Amino acid sequence: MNDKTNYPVSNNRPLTITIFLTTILIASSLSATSLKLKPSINKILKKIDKQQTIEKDVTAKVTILQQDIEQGIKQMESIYFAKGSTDQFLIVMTAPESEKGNGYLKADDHFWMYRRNTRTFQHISRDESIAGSDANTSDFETPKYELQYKGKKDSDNEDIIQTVNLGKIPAYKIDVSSDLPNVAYPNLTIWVRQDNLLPLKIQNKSYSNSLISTQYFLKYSKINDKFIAIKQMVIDNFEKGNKTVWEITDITFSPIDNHIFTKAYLENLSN
Amino acid sequence: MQSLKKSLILSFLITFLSLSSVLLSEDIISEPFFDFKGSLFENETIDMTIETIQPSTTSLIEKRNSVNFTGIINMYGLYEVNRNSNLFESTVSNNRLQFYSDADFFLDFRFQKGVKGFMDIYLGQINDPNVPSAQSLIINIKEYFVDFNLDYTSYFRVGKQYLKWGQGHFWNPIDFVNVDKKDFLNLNQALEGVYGLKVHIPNGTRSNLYFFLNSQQSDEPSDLSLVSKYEIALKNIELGISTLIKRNQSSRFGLEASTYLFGFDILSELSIFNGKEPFMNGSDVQYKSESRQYQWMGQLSKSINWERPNRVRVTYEHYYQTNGFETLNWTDTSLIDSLVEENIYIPNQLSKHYHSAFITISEFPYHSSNTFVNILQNFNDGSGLMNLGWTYTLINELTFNNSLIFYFGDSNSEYKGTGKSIDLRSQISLKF
Repeated sequence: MNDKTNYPVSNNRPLTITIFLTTILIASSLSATSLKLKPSINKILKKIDKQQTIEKDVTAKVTILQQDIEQGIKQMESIYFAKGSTDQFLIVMTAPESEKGNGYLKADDHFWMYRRNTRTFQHISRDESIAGSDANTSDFETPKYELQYKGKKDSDNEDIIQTVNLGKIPAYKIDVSSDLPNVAYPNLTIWVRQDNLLPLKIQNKSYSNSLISTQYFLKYSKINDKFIAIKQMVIDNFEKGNKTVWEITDITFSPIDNHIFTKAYLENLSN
Repeated sequence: MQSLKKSLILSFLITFLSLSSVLLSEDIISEPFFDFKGSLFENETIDMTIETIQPSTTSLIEKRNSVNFTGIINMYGLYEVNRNSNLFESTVSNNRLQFYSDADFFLDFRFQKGVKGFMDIYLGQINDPNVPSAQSLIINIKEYFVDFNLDYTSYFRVGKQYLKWGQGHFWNPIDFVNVDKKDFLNLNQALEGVYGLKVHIPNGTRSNLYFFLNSQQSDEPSDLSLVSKYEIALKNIELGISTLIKRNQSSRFGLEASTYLFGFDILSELSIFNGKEPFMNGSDVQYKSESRQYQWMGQLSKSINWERPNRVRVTYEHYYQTNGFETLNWTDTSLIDSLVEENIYIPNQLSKHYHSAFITISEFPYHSSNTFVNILQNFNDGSGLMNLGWTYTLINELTFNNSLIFYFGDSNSEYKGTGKSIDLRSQISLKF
């Protein structure tokens, strides 16, 4: 009798467990799907760096088009050399005539700005705008977002990642900050494409989080499995109306002689 | 049965909560891609296609020979107020209006393998009734030199050349080369070179060795002087050690360092020498070399610079020399004349202590203009000058520069001793 009365119980238990486990599995898979769509901020930063770090030597022509609300449009040209295995680069202005010969030389933590008219190599700590435009020397460095920035977290110590549509493009929006003294901007808001985590837009902000400029990544090209933002635009949010667009062309990966990354060579190219 | 029911309800709740969280996470916010309104670039679009391209094979370094002709033309208007000098020009007491102009024409010849030639031809004209018209036109070749290198390992420059020797903004105690000094009121002016041979041997990006064989006013080999410098960039500091060696003259040794700390660029230059420098010792006027003794002397400059690119730049610099004057009778015209004759009088470098500050605010008070305040003071006699002005850039090649220069201090002082009170100065510069 006891056995009979216990039968239904013993019959229901496996079913209950099965339903419960199935539910948990469905819920877990749904949550996992949701989490999979949102990589951590650290992973996003790491991917940005990895996809755009070119370990080969790079030579390219950089054309900068600057719109100033009063002075009109100014076109500048420069040649960019970067030593892939190191943190060295050299930018030499080639046009217009008033900027020709000015240059920027970087090796690790050292940064020199060369001014043709005074023949001065100024040893400086900061990033410098290129020929007074909104293009910054840091825009031409190997990206180090993962090392330099930390993502903002909520009260549960979870990364704050928003899923947004930027225009019609599905993107993740993250806020990162840095306490390093030599970064170009201490606070950034970054939008990256969901499908490949390439940056679409970055808002550059000050210590007080006020908006300084907005950078748009208008076109990428893929060369030897690496992504290069070949067209970018920067909007000056401080001086409303000022905009800068730069394009990178004639990219080569041929080895560059070490003598290029010297003060002597830069001075020789200048006067 | 009861247990099954409970289990089903629990499962439903878990599923509902999970679905809710997923649905909530997919509540996507739409944002505009471009959050600005523009004129030139408003038609810019984002190109989502990523095309794979092949590396270029074009060489970007120009390999053909070329000649470039560029220059700068300056027109000046100067109105000097309350000029009542008892120094140099003791009779003039009127306010004075002057117009003058000058120009630097640059010729640049480029050949293959880094070989090049350069020439700076200066042309100036003074519109002053006190200057005879025959002497009002000045033609001078400030620089002409030839550059070549040995397979990019050693770089040579021979000819008349201006060398930037030291990084100081206004004072360069380690500048053992140049004769022409910076003009406080025109810091970007092209300076006159000296004759000689420069050798630059880079050792990677971080270290450099320089030699300069100075043949300025040398009639025989023993008149030549040799200046050398070795600089190296260490962790976050760049150091330079330099020497000057000349026969029958005391050697000079220099040390320079530049670094950055808390966002400030800091640099310093120190030079020391032992010998009979044609200089005075304190208030004891012994400028005649035969009456002077050998002694160690030194000059030191320190400067600190802070800049927010394209917004504000602030530089402070202090200069000290052990054997500079603490007091000097600036009204003693015969003494000053003697100092000038002996080539001892170097403006802004005669007293013990000087300091200066340079502040530039970009895009102020309105767009395309910069406002600046440059102050120079002789610490020992308290006199100085303040250059308050603004520049306006109409187009990239044309700049207007207007400034008011205030001279302050006692009448018996370096900057007020000339009798000047206020100068109103305008300059139009055209670059081509």
